Amino acid sequence: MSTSHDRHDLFPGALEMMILQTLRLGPLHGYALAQAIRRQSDDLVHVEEGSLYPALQRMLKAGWLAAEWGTSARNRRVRIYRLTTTGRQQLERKVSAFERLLTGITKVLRPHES
Amino acid sequence: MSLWDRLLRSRRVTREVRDELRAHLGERVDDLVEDGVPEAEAHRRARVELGNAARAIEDSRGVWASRALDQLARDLRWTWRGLRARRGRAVLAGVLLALAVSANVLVFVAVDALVFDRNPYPNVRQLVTFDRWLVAADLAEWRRQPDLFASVEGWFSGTTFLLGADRAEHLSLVNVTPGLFESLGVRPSWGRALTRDDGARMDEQAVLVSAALARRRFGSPEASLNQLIPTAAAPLRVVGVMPPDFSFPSNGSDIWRVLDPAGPLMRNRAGLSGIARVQDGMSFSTLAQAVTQRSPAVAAATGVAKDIVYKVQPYGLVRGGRDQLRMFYVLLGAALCLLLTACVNVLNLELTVVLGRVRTFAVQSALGASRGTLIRVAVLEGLVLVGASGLAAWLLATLTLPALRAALPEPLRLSTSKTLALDGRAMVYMLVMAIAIWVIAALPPVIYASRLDLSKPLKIDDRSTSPRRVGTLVRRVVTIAQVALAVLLVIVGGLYVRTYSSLLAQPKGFDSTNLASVSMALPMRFYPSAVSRQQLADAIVERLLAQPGVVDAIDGPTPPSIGNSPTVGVRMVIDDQVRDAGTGRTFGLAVTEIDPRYLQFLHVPLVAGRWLAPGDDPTAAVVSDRVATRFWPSVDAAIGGTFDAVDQSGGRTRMWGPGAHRVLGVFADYRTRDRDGPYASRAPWEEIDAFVARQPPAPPPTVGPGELDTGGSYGIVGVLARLDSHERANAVLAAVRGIDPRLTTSIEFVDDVYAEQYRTTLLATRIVGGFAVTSFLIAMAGLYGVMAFLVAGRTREIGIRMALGADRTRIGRFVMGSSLRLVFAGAAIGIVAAVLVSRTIASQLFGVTPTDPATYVIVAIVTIITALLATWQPARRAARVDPVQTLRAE
Repeated sequence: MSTSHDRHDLFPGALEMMILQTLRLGPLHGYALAQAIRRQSDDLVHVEEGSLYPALQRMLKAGWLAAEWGTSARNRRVRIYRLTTTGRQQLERKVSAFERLLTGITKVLRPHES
Repeated sequence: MSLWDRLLRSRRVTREVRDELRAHLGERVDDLVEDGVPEAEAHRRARVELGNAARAIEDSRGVWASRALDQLARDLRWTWRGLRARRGRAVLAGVLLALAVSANVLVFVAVDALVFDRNPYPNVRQLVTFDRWLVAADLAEWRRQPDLFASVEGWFSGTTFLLGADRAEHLSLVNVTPGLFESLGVRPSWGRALTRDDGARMDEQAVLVSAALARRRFGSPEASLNQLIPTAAAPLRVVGVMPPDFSFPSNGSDIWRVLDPAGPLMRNRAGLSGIARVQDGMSFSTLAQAVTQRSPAVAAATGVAKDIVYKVQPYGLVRGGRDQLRMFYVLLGAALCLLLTACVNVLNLELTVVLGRVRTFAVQSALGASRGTLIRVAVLEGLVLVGASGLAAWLLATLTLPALRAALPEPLRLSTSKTLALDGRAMVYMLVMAIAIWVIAALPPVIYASRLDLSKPLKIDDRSTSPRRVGTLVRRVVTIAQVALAVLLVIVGGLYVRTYSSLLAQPKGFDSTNLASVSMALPMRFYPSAVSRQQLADAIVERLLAQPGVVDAIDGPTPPSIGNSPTVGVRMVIDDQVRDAGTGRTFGLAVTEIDPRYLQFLHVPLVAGRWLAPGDDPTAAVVSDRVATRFWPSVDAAIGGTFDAVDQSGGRTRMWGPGAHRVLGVFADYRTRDRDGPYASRAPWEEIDAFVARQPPAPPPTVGPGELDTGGSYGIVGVLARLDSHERANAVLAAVRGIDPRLTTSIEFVDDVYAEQYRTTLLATRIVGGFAVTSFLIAMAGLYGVMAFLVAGRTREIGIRMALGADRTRIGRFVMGSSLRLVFAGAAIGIVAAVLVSRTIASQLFGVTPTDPATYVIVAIVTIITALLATWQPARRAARVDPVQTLRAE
């Protein structure tokens, strides 16, 4: 449960980046996507579903994702999202930008290590 | 992406995200249950984790829908609610506007076609006509002036008889030089154009036909191509069909044929009408000057005549019926008055709506709707209302246009080359009008709503708040304006009605009761000699007399025609003395051979002398008392007098007749033409008519070799019949048609022929009268609305007055009085306006002065009585107010 973890506010664009990264491994439906992000972050990042679906819509609109209706492993009608070429490029741009930012922040936080 | 697609997308996203969230929830519950959580608890937890689903959906939709769009959708929803809440009032406003707008569009279409007469030819400003007839040599010489003209062409109109399976059709046929259509810049829409070679063949003639004729006769323009149409002479071969809106030289032309100006068609013709296209860049004044300058040289070169001065005129200026067209300005004014009445009435309705919605506005505003939203909704409501009524008006105009076309008097219809149609210009006119309506009727409530203090109505429910009072003042002014406009229109309408009835009531001077004219138009080829035509006329009379219901019949001209056209430009010789008509005028003498019984048949009284009798020779004549007293001291003195005509130089001009005529008898003059009506043709000569006994027909004329009958020459045999009732007409017509089914036979009543002269006035009377009645009803409905509203708004005041001792009669009188004040003010303004306006239509009136007291008084009385009736119900309601109940409600 969320109370057992520290909740982390995500910075703008982080959720999109994680979705893109997660979908790079293969198409997923909304719930599976949320679960995958949670597992991969060792339960540190907890995606609030309320923000997941609008984010997916934003990315659909931007053309980073494509979606089609299919069935889940439990035979439920779900919408399955996959990465588009534009989405892949977007991910690379975002990740490199994020890594630069992270390096910068790290340097500021631990100046003696540099 | 269209607005509609976007609205649809918004719904789809909502649905899809909702489905996704449901699936998400299901998956989570399944997971939790698999982890050993009890099902009820699993559901609860899944829901908590999911958070606010509605918000997620809303946010998802927000990704796609723009803010403006959402706002618009909401505004539209409110607009729809607002309009629905108004129910009858919105419908009433829409109907009023639709009526007024369609009336305006129709009048505009008529004015546009008839008054402005825009020609459908490209660059019509480059077209000029010659003011005299041209012969082949004239055309050739002017074509040799390429610095002036790009082309010089000619044409003349004739007729032809198309023979059909059952009966003949008598149609206009226009003969044009081969280059004329090219010069106009018009090509056939189907088939090919006419070429010079088409004029060479006379046994079968290539023609272009109108799209209307092609459809009527062959079903479609395509089907008519290469068809052969039999005529009374050589058959016509359809080689092309003109565009549907094409007309030349006027409406009603159906067939065009190539004309060689030097060819056989020109035999027996004085010349052609000339039309030319001016070279690019040449101004009309330069051209006119050059044409005058070169006239002598051109005239000399033609070798036909010398000392001719050619003149050119811009195309379209030479047309008759100009003064009839003035009537259309009146119609336009009347239509605009009607529109204004409708507008102010709608304004009235809209104001009521706004006043009634002050509280609604206030509540909406308290719930967070911005002032902007309220204004936007008010604007939208206005737009929807005006838009819907605009559409309805267009539909209404489309439906009524055929009726207007049919009501147009013949001379007006033929005076334009354009058919009445709802075209792009009419559309633009309507849009402009719709915007004007919106500004007049829908904008003031919007402004009003925008300035409303929205906090007030919620604090106290005070009926006397200032916006309400302002509203009442505006509504009073608006009511006065409505009444004024209606009174103005009704007075003008009344003047037209009086004019028309005076015209019809003019004594004809003969008995026209059930008098009908039966006529047959016949190709000369079928009845080539005078003898054969006389035999046909006799056969018709015989057939008529054998018909039940025919009281009498006679072979003779149908009044107002007297038969022969006058020989004009003459001087009269009375008892061997030459007489002039007076300065600047001449005489026109018409002597017509008639059946000696003709005038008695018409019941024209004899004043002096004796009637014509069979066997009288053609020198013996009867004249009217008008002619007799014009030349002799008395009608009796005219008996035995002689008259003749000579031309201006004193020589004999008449190719006919035996010389001088002797007056045998004098009859009371009867009305042979419209001499006094507002659109009477005023000939520059003084008409002198005389009748002589019909002589036996001359032997058949010898037809010279090579005489070309193209089927167009025709005669009309007309016979008068007095029936016992109008219902006999069809049976009589059928009987006569049987004599020769190939001919075009028709029957009409002489009274109708006379009424036809006043058809322009009738049209104006009907249209202005219709507008007047409509606007009067609108104004009175508006008055009722205002009074009902006043009474409803003042119930409390009335209750207090009653409690203080005012009796019911006084209250009723008080309401009546305030209504009548509005009506008196409106009627006074309307009457003053009518006095000013009617002066401009004085020339269109007859038998009534523009300030005819009777008309004004009657309109005033009717207005006041109707106003009293309209106020009666509100007044009664006011008088019935129960003071106890009103005050208790406080």
